Amino acid sequence: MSISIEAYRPIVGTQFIDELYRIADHINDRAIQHINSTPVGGGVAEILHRLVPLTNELGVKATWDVIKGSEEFFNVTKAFHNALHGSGNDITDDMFEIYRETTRDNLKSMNLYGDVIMIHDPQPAGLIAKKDEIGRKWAWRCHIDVSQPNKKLWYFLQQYVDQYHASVFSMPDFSQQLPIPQFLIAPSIDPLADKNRDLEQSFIDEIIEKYELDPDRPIITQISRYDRLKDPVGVIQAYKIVKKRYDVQLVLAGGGASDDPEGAAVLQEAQEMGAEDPDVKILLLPAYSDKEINALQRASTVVLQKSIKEGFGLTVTEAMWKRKPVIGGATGGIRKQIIDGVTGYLVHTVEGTARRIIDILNNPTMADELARNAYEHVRNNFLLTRHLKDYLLLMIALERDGSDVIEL
Amino acid sequence: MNNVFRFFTERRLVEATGLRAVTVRDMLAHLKKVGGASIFYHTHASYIEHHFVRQRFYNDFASWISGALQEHKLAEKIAGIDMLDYTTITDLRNAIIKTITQDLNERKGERARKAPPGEEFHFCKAKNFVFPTGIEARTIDEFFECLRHISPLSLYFHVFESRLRLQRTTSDFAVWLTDMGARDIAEKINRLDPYAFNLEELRERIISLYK
Repeated sequence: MSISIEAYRPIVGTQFIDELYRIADHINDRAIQHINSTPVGGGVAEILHRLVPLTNELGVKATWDVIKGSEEFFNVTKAFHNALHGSGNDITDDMFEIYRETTRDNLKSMNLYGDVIMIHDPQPAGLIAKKDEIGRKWAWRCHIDVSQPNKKLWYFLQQYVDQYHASVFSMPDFSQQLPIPQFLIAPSIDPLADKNRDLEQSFIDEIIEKYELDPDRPIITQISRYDRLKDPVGVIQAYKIVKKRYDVQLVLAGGGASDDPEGAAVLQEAQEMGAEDPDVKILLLPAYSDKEINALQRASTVVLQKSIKEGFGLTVTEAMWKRKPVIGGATGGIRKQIIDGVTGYLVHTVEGTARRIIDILNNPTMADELARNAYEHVRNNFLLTRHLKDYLLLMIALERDGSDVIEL
Repeated sequence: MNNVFRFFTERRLVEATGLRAVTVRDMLAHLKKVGGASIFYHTHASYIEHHFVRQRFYNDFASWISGALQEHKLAEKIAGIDMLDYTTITDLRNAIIKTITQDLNERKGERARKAPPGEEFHFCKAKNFVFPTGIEARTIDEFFECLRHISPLSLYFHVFESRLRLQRTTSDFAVWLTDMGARDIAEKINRLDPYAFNLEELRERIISLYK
């Protein structure tokens, strides 16, 4: 069941929700059609499930359609995804042909009716071929970190992207040299989703008990995939430095993919490092553990995201929203969220991480201030309602090209 | 004379220009050709994004030069540019260019520092959407009461955006208060350096002038 826009009023303030209605009024009867490649699973589908009903509630017609593709096509687009991230997949001309073929099929079968058509990620990007025939305003919304894309693939995609009226990236670091406007719309979290909403203390206590944690001693937590780039090993090393003089506990929790041998190796390494210490809990959580993750974050004294490379880092956003002092690796979107010493701490090393954990343990007043600032920063910049506002503004911007100032 | 003060607000969509800098020289080259909206954005965006906290630098150029390049002297000089001295973006741009050029001339022959990978400076700009909040004041009392309730962005619009966009030497508030006969308060507002506060502090400071 979808949550009403009114439920966000106490969270983001009544003025903000009123502004959303005002902005929506200027969109008149124009409709937005979102198109992506999957109805479930993944961040894009998760966001659209929430954003589409909220847009409609504001009086702006929003719909969501999904392209069809064979397993072979989705294998190709998975390889595209990895290559856009810069990992070393071979991109072949055969892959391009499979992509073109599926695009042709979808062009024949799909009904493209929105006044604004927002295409999410590379999979449906080829639908732009219909632009000359049907007109409309087209935006390509790229959710992927394309700061260092595979060049051959990027050139292939750019022939489509260049035809759009505008593109949208999550961070300036992902922007490209393009002949079309590149809007920047940061990702967001939903404060009312299971992963972020307030929880009853009894449920948090239950989770503390389930994972045999001691609520009376500080808990240091990192929630992330078992991936070298998230540096779980570095987290354990930092914990061990702190543990010499402080009676703390460590929780590493994340999902694992059965088809990811690298992830399994990292998990095993972490387990071996923590094996001797009953205060180190290394948890492999199943999918749909959102509420448990929420509880673990809320039970924590300090939350870490000691990534070596990071796209945006929504786990950082989630912890900041829960008013936790967060220590993050100084990389990617973490640097956008953590203002060092103001909304958390940025670190570059294991030693630095340990130092900051100790600072937080010893200065609860300062930790509270960091946490308060962190919460306020997320409230202002990284909630779903801001995402919604940005999409509405984008609809207006697409209709009124040109000027840097638009009077509504 | 219009007796009603209508509070406006703004929302923005940020755009990347695709231009990025790795060294101070790159930054200087782009500063000369980038649109005025980009200069305005990088000298004002921090006030909005972090309206509740005090930052070391509100000026993105200074912040990057200090953080990514560790060129603290130049960063301080840029942050020290008195924004109130300029009523046009062109003049502000020239002041920043002059400061950087002077610094580069003084340090001729020194090896240029490069930003570490991932810490390049990305020139952005904003598309601003301006609209009325529906909040209006007809008396000075009402005006200061409204000031307590308007959003930080509305305050920002009237104090910063409106001044540089309309190329006035004063803020909207001072103009209206003068029209309403409260010249003394208007002058106090004009003497205030809004760039020295975060937006919440600025709100409190302006309200305190009417007591």
